[in-house]
Amino acid sequence: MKFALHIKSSPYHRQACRTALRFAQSLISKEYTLSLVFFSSEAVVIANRLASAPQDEEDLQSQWRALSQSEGFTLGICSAAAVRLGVCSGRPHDVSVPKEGGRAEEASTAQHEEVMIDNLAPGYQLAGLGEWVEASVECDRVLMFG
Amino acid sequence: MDASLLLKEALDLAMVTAAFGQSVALLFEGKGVLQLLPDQQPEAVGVKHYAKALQALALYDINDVYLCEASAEQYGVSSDALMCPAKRIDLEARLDLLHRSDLIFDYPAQG
Repeated sequence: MKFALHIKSSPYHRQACRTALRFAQSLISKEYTLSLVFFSSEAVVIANRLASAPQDEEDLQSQWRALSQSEGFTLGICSAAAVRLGVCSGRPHDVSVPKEGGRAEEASTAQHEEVMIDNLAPGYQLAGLGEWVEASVECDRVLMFG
Repeated sequence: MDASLLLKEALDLAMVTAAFGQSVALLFEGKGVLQLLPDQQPEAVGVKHYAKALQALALYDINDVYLCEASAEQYGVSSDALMCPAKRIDLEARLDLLHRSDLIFDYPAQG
């Protein structure tokens, strides 16, 4: 049975990211398959390479990476939310949301400047909402952690 | 999170899902029913008017937009002149909608 997980809230202010990690570890231990973990909204800051957890606290960024690398599932970071919250891959983002009225020019300026910056943590990749939709259609179980 | 951004994120997911050929229904309930009110001026507090995107739902073949009757009454939202056409449903029809859906994505308002 294949699972896809969607996490929406900040790893620093809410429990969802940690609860989802426990859930993922548990379902893998029961030999289910995890195909995609999709971080959107405030959860995308999990993939900021420049952020570091205090030494005596759990490092969620590393834990998700370790699990993803050992189990072979994708850690997808919603590209539109990543642009908004400053998680950049050093390449122009493939922003799948339509440009909005008067803000389009500002948005493209911001994207242009991001070209030089790469703070996307290793093991994570930018993904569009379409990738989440495909996974949610293809997987047997889909869970959202708010 | 800003309620207008919650709406934007929900609509983004709904539209992309519909663009992938899936059938999508939207249910507005609780405080969310206020998003359907016309004549909003979020620009006055520096917020973009994301509710305008509600008018584009039909272009994505999203025609099943529901308004929870109990919430509409609680918040004084009448069905005429909303941002987009919405069908009023009672609690029983709401339950039925949830049962008929394969996947449910919840965007709860906080605070």
